[in-house]
Amino acid sequence: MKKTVIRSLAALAALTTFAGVASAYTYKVIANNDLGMHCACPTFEGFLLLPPFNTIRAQVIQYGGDKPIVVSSGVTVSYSFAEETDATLQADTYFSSWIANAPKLFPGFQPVVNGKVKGLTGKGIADLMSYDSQSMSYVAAGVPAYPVTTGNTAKDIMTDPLGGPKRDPYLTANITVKNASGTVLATTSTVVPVAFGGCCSCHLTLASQNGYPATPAGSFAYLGKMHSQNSSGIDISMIDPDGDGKGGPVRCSWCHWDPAMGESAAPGWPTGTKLLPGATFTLKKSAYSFSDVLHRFHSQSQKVLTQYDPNIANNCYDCHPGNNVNCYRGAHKGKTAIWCSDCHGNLNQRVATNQLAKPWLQATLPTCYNPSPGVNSAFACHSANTYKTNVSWDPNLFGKYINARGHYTSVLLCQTCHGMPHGENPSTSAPDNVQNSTLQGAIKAVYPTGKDKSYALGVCDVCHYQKSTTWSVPPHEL
Amino acid sequence: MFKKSCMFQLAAAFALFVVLAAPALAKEKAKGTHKAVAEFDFKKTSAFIKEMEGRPDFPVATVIANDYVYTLLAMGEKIDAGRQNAIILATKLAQQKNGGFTPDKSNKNGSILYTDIALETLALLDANNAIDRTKVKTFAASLKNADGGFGFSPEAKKSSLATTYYAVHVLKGVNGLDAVDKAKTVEYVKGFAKKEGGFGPEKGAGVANARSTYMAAYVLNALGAMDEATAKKAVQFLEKTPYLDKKSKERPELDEQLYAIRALKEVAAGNRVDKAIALNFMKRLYIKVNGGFGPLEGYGSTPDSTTTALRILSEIGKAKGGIPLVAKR
Repeated sequence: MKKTVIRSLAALAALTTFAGVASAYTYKVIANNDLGMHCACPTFEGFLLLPPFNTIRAQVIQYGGDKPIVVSSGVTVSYSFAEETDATLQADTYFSSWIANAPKLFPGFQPVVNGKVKGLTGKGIADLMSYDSQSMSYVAAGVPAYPVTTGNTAKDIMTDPLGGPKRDPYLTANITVKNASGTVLATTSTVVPVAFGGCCSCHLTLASQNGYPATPAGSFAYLGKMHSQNSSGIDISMIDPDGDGKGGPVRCSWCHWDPAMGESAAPGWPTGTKLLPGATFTLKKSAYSFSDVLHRFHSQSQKVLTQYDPNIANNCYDCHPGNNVNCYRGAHKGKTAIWCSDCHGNLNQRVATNQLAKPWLQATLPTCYNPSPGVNSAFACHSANTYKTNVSWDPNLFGKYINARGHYTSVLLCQTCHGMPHGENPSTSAPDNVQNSTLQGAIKAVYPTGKDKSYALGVCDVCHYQKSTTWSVPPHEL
Repeated sequence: MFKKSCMFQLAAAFALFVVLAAPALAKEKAKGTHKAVAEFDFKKTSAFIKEMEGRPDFPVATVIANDYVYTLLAMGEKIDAGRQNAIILATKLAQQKNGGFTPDKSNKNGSILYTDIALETLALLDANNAIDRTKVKTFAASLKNADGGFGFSPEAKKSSLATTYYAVHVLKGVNGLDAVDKAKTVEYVKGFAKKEGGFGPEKGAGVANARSTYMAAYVLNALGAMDEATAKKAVQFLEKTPYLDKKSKERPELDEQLYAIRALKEVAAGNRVDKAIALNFMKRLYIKVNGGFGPLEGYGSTPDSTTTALRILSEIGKAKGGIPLVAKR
């Protein structure tokens, strides 16, 4: 109840009139997570798939007068989290594992500076956002957000594969826009999704079924053994990067390059890395990306198929966050039986079309009007004519929905109106709909049958002063 | 008087009709409906599984077609002729020239796993003869290795207990057990036995699990080589699993629950199945919101895990669909 009231107040504050920068105008801010879901692991002692690294984008809109303006200067935009602080993160057992192991995984990096948690780019859990001219938004990249237990059973929905209490995978970032004199111009809240995948659930069992303890350490040891059975012969559990006489922590992308880590080639392991006694292999970099080896192995391993899941090609949640998180939750999920594989292809298709050789590239990802290249979706996509975007960038990381702008003079990010990918409005997950419902709900708008305020922003008056209160599909390219 | 007599006769005739016709009417009424299993709302489960009907590429893939067919039949539903035909056609198209079946249209490499799944789907639809069964036998027999085991596919030839099980399962289904070198295969399978009883997925190191125990027991039975000592040791192993031992601290798993039941039945210890443990576990996996079942406690439902749950409920007599246990063919 208390949180609902706070959220409502925040929503009202988002519409607060400002009389500082230019008295005739008010300001609105619309924020989103870039990807719609980031993965996290409950331990970092053995190996690292991905670090805590979330990205928030916010577009600030000057409202009033003839035309709205997307603000690029003269304001400060900051964020903080409703569910976690520096203190709670440092007290969290799992996040403590990150703090302890991060300097070994990323030599030179300090995850805590002057008592404050810092992400890999230096961003804290509460910090300022910087203006980015490509996305025309204020961005905080590399925020070390991490799923936590809030005590609110409605929010703590994610099952912990290690048996701990459930956690909240849909955190709330509160965004505040201030003018130079510190007056609040606008606020909003957005979901910052970060969740555990299904990897541990399967691998702990796998370890125990092969005589290893059903613990992360046991799983790491058995994973090392399995890895040594591939052509590399490398037992990753025998790699000792910090010379403490124990295996791990190992960063997968040292050998298997990962565009999600900003890599186009494997960087190699830290200087001073040793092998434990008994190791009979030598370290070598792989030409294959992490995404490639991981997906290809799981979809083609007869052991995986015959002993664990013959349908792993379609069961994305075996690995990606589905443990009651349901990462894929947006408008597509809500409308009909569209599956992950309709946009991305199932694993057999992805391997057959060699998509994974160049993962995360714009060229291999779906757009609004086409599934990934080589994938025959069972459903028709959106019309390229109606939903065309003008400007896109960064072909090496993420698809066009994330890295594109459209509408009017191509100033708006697709997700500013439509919400974050995988959680597009109207989402089947209520928190994803709060922002749009607040913005459109503040206007007495008229909606076509079947649509409401939780839909993509289509009420002109949200941004255009006294233009229209009827929801419609705005022009996507002008 | 006549009027009264006439009325009496009419009433008597009506009463007789009711007595005679009631069972038939009740039976008719029950047709195509979800018989009540208090713990689960099968109407929702049905709707959950039927979501895939809205897909233009229905039935999508070999495993998903099998999920659809098994689950609906297990709940006592009928599958309309149009969808039956679509499933049979898709399954036929999954058969490759060498006789093996593929997981979906994007894959052209047949394997023994998807062949086994496809055969079960056809058997459930009473459409065994829709495909070339001779080719199936040839395909399965071609995967035989010198060690007595069978491989996964022509491309992945290495033997394993699981692939050997699938091959024997398939061969038995197409009356092709004569293609098995029984002595060698029995020896190969016995190599997976564990000291503590039961069988494991790997030879040598590693521990037993219910899935491997079932698979090994099935092969030994199919080849007429199950002995009392092996069966007894299998039960001894299964007694320590969470599927029989209420005090076990091991986390139960959906697939393992199914195979524990099947393993007990395979070693002629079906009376040892703890139906209450299985039913309680299914209750914990049941997702009330959509009627599906999750793969693990606290996880969301998928068609695959829902089908496995229905298989378990079938095995313990709680699915009510009267589905033939074709996996035991």
